[in-house]
Amino acid sequence: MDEFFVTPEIARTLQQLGFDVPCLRGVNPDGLECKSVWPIDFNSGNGIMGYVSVPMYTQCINWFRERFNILGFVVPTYLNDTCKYSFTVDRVSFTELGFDTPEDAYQGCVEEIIDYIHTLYESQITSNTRSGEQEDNEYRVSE
Amino acid sequence: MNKEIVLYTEALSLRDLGFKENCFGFYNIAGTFVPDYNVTIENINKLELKDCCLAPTYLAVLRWFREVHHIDGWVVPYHTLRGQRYGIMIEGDNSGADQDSDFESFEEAELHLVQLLIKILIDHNTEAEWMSSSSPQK
Repeated sequence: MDEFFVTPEIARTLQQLGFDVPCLRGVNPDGLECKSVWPIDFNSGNGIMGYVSVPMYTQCINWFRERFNILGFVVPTYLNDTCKYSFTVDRVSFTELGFDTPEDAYQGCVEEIIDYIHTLYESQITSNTRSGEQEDNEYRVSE
Repeated sequence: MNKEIVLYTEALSLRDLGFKENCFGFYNIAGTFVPDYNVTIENINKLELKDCCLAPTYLAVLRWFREVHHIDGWVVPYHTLRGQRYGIMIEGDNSGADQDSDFESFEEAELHLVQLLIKILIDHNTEAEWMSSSSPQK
């Protein structure tokens, strides 16, 4: 079921964007994967700094929609007997075609939305210091 | 993460239809979602509880329908004068069950999609049973 989860690199970027949804997986400060029997917001630290939440792609897509009002979606395209998948980011009318699996398309979609948010909120990056130990960049989103 | 998990009623129907994929949780006898990082059908069977079942994500259910039953369903957003709306599309079924679908939210459309896929599969199974029972016996 690994294919449902974002890569550690994407997870770190999501942490910088303020992703705060409890997840079943995380990455510890040594970069090792950790699993939980109960969803945890690893990004909050929970007293242990340096952990990163690793969400499922669908959790990201739902979070982007609710937090940033950016809609990303994946659809199949049937041509003769073959099926390929594409994703669209609604707000920017961006579409990319030709993915072999929905999971690949979801990864492309999440990466594209992250790029879009970076562009959109670049000027709003603020440096925060958490507990005087870890420095995070968070995006302040105007409601 | 409950938003990603199909509801209890649909999970029970999927169990009855033979869904056995590993999941990120299960429903207990009270119909409460119990998360876990990996639950297998063997784990559930060991419990020997009638109303306990796997709790799959919508994504896992759609993949199961696609790969096991060759019915592909998905949610399609579109814009109308009333704002953002959501429709559903189904490939691999000619009943036209997905026509005229129009939902206010993604979650609503996703739930309806899974309910529709379950209904299609039940209808297919019923039809197949009827065909086999009505065929001449040797």
